[in-house]
Amino acid sequence: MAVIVKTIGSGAGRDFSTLAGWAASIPANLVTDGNSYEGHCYNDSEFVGTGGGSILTLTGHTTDASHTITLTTGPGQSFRDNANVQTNALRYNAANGVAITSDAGGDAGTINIGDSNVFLANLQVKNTGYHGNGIACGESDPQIEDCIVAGDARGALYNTDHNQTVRNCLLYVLEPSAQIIQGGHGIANLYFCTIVAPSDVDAPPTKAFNTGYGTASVAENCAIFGCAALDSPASITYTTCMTDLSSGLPSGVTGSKTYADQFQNITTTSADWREKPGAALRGAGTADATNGAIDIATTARPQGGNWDIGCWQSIVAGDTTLTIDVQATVEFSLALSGDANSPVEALAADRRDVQNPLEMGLVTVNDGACPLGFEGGVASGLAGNVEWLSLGFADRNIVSEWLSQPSIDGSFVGEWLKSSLLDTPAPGEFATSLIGVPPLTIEFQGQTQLTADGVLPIEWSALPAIMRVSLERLLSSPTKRRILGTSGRLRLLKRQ
Amino acid sequence: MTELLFMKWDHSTQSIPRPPARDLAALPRRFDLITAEPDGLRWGTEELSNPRFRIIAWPLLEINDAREFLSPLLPRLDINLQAVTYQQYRAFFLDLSSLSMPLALRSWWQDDSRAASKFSVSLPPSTVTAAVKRARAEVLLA
Repeated sequence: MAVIVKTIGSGAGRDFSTLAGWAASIPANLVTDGNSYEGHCYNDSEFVGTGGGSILTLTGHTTDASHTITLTTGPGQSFRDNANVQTNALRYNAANGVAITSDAGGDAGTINIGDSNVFLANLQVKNTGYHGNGIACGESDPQIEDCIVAGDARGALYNTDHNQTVRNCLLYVLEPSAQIIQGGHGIANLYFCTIVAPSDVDAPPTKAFNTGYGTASVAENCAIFGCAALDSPASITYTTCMTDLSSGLPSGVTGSKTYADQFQNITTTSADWREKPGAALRGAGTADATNGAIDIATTARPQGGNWDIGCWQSIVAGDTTLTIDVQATVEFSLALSGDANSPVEALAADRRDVQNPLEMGLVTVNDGACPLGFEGGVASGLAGNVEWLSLGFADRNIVSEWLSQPSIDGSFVGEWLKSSLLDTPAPGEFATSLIGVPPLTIEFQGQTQLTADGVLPIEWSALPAIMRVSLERLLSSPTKRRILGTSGRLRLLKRQ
Repeated sequence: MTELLFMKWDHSTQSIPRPPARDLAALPRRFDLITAEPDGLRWGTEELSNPRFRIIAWPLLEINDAREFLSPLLPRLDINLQAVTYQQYRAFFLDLSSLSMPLALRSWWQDDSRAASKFSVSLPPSTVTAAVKRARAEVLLA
């Protein structure tokens, strides 16, 4: 079996300029033809359909599990591939990647799928038609992954089927609607989806899910906000879903969460359904590597042990690893990650101070134990989800004023970090490696010997600018000498 | 100022095995308009060369006037709102093989080599549609 790939876009050299042309080129019977067919869209320009009909209709084809039809994006063409995917507002925006819109009205949908074994991925789909919908599924079972679908009054997905699967998608409506997902033969199985209506639509959707047939389906790790009610009939089995609704909720749905606290922006024109720092969605999901190993922005799940609810996985900022050999040779690895919206301070909620000046409150490992195994007076303990490492050193070559005790001996860690970061480049004493680009993870690894006064010579000039800025922030409050004096801005993880 | 992509392929006679009636209704049929685009669109290489298709450039045709050829034929419903006919890809088509059409157009239509990737029509749209606009016949559910 071969996969016949065709390029679709308005740029020079594409196989097709129109989605309809590509669809019409597919043979009637893929099984006897012996091939699968993939359309790869290119973001040469927005795909725009006018005149009230679907811009793409896939019907009348004979397929099976081995002979399928896929519409996705070419390499680097999706909003998911955008260099700024972590900071771009999460909503339909043709500037971010392949985008498909139409004014198809009623049942038609911007994309209309009646065939089985159809896969849609990495697309942005919008509908602006009179009582229109984003993707009309024709009671077939298209699998939809990693898409943004904005629908009109008939919802984002229309005429879904209980055999259908939708993963890692943002599904929302632009107008008052009866539902966000309408089921023909039940609601699609939903995993890690953000299913929302803007807070300023004239009236919230009557229900998030509405189907005439109560065939059983699944909703797992879905964020459902901005609707007047959840579903009808109650045919969905929910697992770790979250909503702003507060009453009559079935098992598996946590309610009464403040909508505005979950997302960056929930209004129509400025919508941004990336998760907000501190959102209750964070870490509240169920582990499911089968359906959610990668989020809509290509972030791997979990992050720091967190499985977030919804299509967006927050990056755990400041994954910093540190290995300390108490024999005064310091082998270390520091890594910070973050972006403009969630720099290192996003960890603030995770950290707690330890008052004992001879303890070093280094680590938040979120959920897991941190197998340090130091010798020479090391202890570790758990405080809720936060693990602290306590180090005590007989020789005091390395001690721990990371926390908050300015009266501690000057050789303490806070002092040496301050001194070394700001003042003391020591070329050749350690190696650095830079991993990634913004939003970045920066990791420093090396081995060095503490100076006589306990200074670890990290070369400030070697730090990327964004990390310097972050560390300057850390150093500036409450005093420059206490790196962790500002709660939780630096996370240190044991590196084995 | 419109360019039209037509279906030349006939699934009912050219696709093997012949699709069942339901699929034939859903698929584009010969003479069906696949899409209407504003003049100047950069067509893809397949749209320009694949013998399944034909492209007609029609400067006198307004794109909105082509819309009626893009509408599906909706199923007829009985008193219980159950479909008794198949929905079809298009409700109307232009019979470009009609003797009412210029010989040059008919000859170009037959040329599967697509030596000329587009054909330019200068006839008034109203004249053409009056002569060769056809409605798809309903197909009862099997």
